[in-house]
Amino acid sequence: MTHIGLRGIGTALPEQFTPLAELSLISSPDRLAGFGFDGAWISSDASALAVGAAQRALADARIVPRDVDVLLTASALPQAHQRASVEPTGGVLDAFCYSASWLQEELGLDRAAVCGIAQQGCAGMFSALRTARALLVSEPELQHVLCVGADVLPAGACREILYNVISDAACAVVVSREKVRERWLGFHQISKGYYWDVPAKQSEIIAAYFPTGRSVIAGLLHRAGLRAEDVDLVIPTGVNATSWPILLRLCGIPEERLYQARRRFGHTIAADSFLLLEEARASGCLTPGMRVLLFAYGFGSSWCALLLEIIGEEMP
Amino acid sequence: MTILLTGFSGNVGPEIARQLAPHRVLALVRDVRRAPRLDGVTLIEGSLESLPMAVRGEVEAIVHGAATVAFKLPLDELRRTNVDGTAALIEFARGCTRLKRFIHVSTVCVCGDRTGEIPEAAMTEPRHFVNPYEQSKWEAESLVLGSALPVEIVRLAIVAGSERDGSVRRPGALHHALHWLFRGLIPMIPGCAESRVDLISTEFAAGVISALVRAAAEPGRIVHASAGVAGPRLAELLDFFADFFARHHRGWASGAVSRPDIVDRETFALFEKSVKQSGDLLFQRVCDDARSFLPMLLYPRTMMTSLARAVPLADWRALAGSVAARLIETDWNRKSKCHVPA
Repeated sequence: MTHIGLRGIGTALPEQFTPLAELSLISSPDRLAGFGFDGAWISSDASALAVGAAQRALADARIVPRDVDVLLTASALPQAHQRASVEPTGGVLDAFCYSASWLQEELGLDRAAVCGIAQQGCAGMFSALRTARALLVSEPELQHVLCVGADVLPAGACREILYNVISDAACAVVVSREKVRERWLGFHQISKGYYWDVPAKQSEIIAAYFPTGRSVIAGLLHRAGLRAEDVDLVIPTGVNATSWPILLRLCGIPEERLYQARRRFGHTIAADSFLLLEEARASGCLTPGMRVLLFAYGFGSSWCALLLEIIGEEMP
Repeated sequence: MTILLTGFSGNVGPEIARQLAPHRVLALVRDVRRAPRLDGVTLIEGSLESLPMAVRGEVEAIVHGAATVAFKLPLDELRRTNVDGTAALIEFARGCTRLKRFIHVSTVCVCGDRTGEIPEAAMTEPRHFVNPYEQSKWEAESLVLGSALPVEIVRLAIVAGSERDGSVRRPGALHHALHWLFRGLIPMIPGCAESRVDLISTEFAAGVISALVRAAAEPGRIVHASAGVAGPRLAELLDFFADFFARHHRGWASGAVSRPDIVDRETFALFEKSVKQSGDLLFQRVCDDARSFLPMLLYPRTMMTSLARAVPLADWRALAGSVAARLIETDWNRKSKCHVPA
């Protein structure tokens, strides 16, 4: 049977973990520890993380680079879409060296069409998945879309954003039309350009987070013809741990359906949901038929919710 | 009749005095120079701690409207005016040889966490008060009812502002909540969608008090100045403000600012805890204001009314719209009047 969904997942965390006390932060380490953070994973090379995550996703999907029809790369930070030239001219041409193209070359995705997804903040990977699924629906000849999200904060940057501690990481997902492990049930996104000016509107953004989060999840479930209690598991992101029980209560989803992470990754911009989905898979807590909800908020502002159904191992 | 009015400088005081005409009103004020001037009203300098003994022989009725209505103050501070001040006025009244009426202005909030139909009657202490203000006013009611004076009580609902022009002399908890709501800073409200928000105008509040003064004295009588079943449900009111604010605020107009979710006590407590943990000063203020007032909406109830039914009641939409427009226009009384498109 053909289902569009997630066929392979790969993630990459840097090797360096720095505890809260040694990070550049706004709030006190104690306060941030209360929100579920104990430090940040720090890297200087988003490309290396992206390559690692993509290779793992391809391996997990049991496909080779030449099988990939489309590569979508998502990054929240503008500089992540650029790659330094090996022979910089100092002119405008230097700005046309794209990290997505470099990644295609590095991975040997010789058949893939390439596209970058930007300006979605921490919801960039969700937008990439949505675009991947839409491509598979609209272009029947496509089989596999590889989505890669990678972000690394600049060296020495403050690691705290709106009470969240930011880690560097990458994730990759192969979206395919067959042999998928998680079937695509639905997606809903609400974007509010009113909040484009993040520094000026940060308090309003915090206030809008919950009601809009509730709306996007309610909208998704409505479109899917499901009720809140039909959600079997919610895969959180690494944002402020105290926010999840509130969001679940607003949505009417029983709190015990929130996935309890075994590892702490902090908030990795694009990768949280997939680090935890991968962990949940590995832990064996995902069983066929389960409906799994993923939710992310990204500056811009966009609220995204994705609903998957666990198919389980369909691989030969 | 010569009436001593306390609380003349408050939100409802001048309107009470206006509607008590042609009775002679002696208005007790702390500072004569800063008090409003009204024809037929004689300003008398004093306070509940320093009552005007010289007029005791003239006073035939007392309308006791003075109160501290800062919901966030500690109980001890609220008791100083609302309970101790009332006790002092009772002692003063005992010496008023011509006194026929003692009308105590109270609040419908004295019913605390009670739900359902609330009768116009003395009530035992509720299990829980939403804020110390409610408790102090309940204690004051008990005090006046036990005083053996010819006491009558008017319990006011939420006085939103003037139905004539939307003006609010002193913005209170409702207006602070509207301020945060307008700015898109209230993500959730503790309450029940079906709870009625008992909004009344300044004129209506004063109208019920003056109607009681005009009616024959009935010591022990309690009346509610309440909109009763004519008040809006919480969800209905939030929808109204969402539409209204959309005319004045780009975020509301675009739908970016959402109507706050109506949540149960536990969910709001989780939000408050998260805000407290963050140390975010702005949201702590929002939560403090919300906590002092909004949890009353967790208790759906309808105040029974008798006398109030004879007093004209403004439509809540007109009142809420007029008050909100005025608050926006004056930036919550922080600036002088400017034009706001209707």
